[in-house]
Amino acid sequence: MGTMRILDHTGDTTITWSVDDAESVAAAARVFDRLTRERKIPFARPAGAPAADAERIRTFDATADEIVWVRPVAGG
Amino acid sequence: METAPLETLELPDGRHLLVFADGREVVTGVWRPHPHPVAGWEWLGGHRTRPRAAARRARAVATAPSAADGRAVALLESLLDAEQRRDYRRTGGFWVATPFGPVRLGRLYALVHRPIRRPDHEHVLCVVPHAHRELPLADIWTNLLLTLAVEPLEFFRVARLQQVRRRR
Repeated sequence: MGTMRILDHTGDTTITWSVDDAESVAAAARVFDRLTRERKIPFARPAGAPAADAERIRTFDATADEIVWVRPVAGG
Repeated sequence: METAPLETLELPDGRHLLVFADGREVVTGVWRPHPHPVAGWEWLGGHRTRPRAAARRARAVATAPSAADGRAVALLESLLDAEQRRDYRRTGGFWVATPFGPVRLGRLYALVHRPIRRPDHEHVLCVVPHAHRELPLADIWTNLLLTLAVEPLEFFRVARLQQVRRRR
């Protein structure tokens, strides 16, 4: 079971999929594409791993344990 | 007898931070309204205009942790290593190692960077996620933590340098 966590005003919104369930994978891939178009940034990490073990991904990876979506950063 | 401060720093709100040789820090003076350091933005909560007692009562309600805060803190803590988690629980902040020197997250709009090339100085930086005011505070740290840990160049590319000061 893979999980996407999208940071928002609720803390985060969670989307899950299972590699055995093609429909859930396709739905997660559609969310991935939409968030990419919104310029949000996905980092994948193994379950429970610290941020230092995360990696930026460019395409949806259904084998990822967890994908955390963050926002672009800016200075003042 | 009281010793003279080692250093006196003027804070943006008109008060002064006195730093003593034994490590004590004392803030003196009276807060006054001042503009947000980021152009076009305003302070969270705005300036205080109510009487102090009313403000205290309101704050007691406003600071109760919400479900959103709880989720955000749980996600952030899951991304911290053991030492960072201890530091965060004790102080509300933690250091993140980068190739350009460590950065301390924990104080919004005033992130301390200890540059490798200037070991006797600290840089105070301002970096925030897009539309950060709609996020719980811990989500802001998660956003900055992942950016710093995985894409530090992007963090430093956009960072606004607020202040350079001597390390204590």
